[in-house]
Amino acid sequence: MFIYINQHAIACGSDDTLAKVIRAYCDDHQLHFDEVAVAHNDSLVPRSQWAQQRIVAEQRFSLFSAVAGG
Amino acid sequence: MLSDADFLRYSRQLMLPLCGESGIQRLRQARVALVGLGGLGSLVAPYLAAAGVGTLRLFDHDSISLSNLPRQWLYQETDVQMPKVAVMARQLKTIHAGLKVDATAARVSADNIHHLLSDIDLIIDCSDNMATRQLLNRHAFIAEVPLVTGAAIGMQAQGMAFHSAHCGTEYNAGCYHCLYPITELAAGSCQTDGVLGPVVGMAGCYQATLALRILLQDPAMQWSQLWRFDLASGHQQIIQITQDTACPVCAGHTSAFS
Ligand SMILES: [Zn+2]
Repeated sequence: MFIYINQHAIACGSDDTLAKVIRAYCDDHQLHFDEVAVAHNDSLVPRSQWAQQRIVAEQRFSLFSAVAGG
Repeated sequence: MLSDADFLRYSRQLMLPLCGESGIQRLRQARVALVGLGGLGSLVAPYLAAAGVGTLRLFDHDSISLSNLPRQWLYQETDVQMPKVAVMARQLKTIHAGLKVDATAARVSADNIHHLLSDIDLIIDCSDNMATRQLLNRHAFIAEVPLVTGAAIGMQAQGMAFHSAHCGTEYNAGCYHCLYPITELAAGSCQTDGVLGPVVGMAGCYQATLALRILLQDPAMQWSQLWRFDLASGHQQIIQITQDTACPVCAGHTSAFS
């Protein structure tokens, strides 16, 4: 099945957790896993939920990096 | 009481239903702490001074360098190597002579934050590092003072506001630590990644707008919402920052966070 992160289709297994998918996405896009945040339906998915959260086919996430410059 | 000169000066603000005459009074009585006078702070401070905010407490430990000038244009070439707080205080006085400015050339730290940020109505985070951002978030939550945070890097701008009174599962709203539970970033500062002046200015303008809306007690104020703007693509997004039930700052957890 597929889910989408920032409009990229990601193939994943039915028992994958959100944490696993995010980590793979970060590795592919040279992003720091510790520094990204993820939203679903314009609502933050808190980091402490990632390890438990099972993904559902066709779910769409936006992923972005923390910004601290000023 | 507003004078005739005040009515003239603030006429465009007075017209707004959000402001009115009482709004000008509110701004005049407001005490705002502004941490960081770089690309964000050097834009937020003059906007608040010009809008009639009565007291600004400024914090920055840096002096002005040549590399600041492309985006921190309130500082002039002749100001290089001068302390930012001193130059900013001088510039703000030329914008509004009646403004009360407290300028402190120090780094806000865990040791001095309770002292430096006492008796304040609003904290504006214009800092340039994650450790200070987390420190200000935690202080604002404990002190029950609203916090406006902004940041920029490359072509990305972000801005948001938090208030402990509007934080919790019943509001579906968390704090800055819920969004970014980290104390430092491996990379991604203006020093390492660069930034375009107007991009950081965009984040500063958003912060100044949020600050004025908070001080004017805007009933439509949305707390715990991240605004992110990619100025390369024009894509913008508003994200509700839900509370992380494991958050050591706002969810009452006593973990190792310090
Ligand atoms: Zn929190």
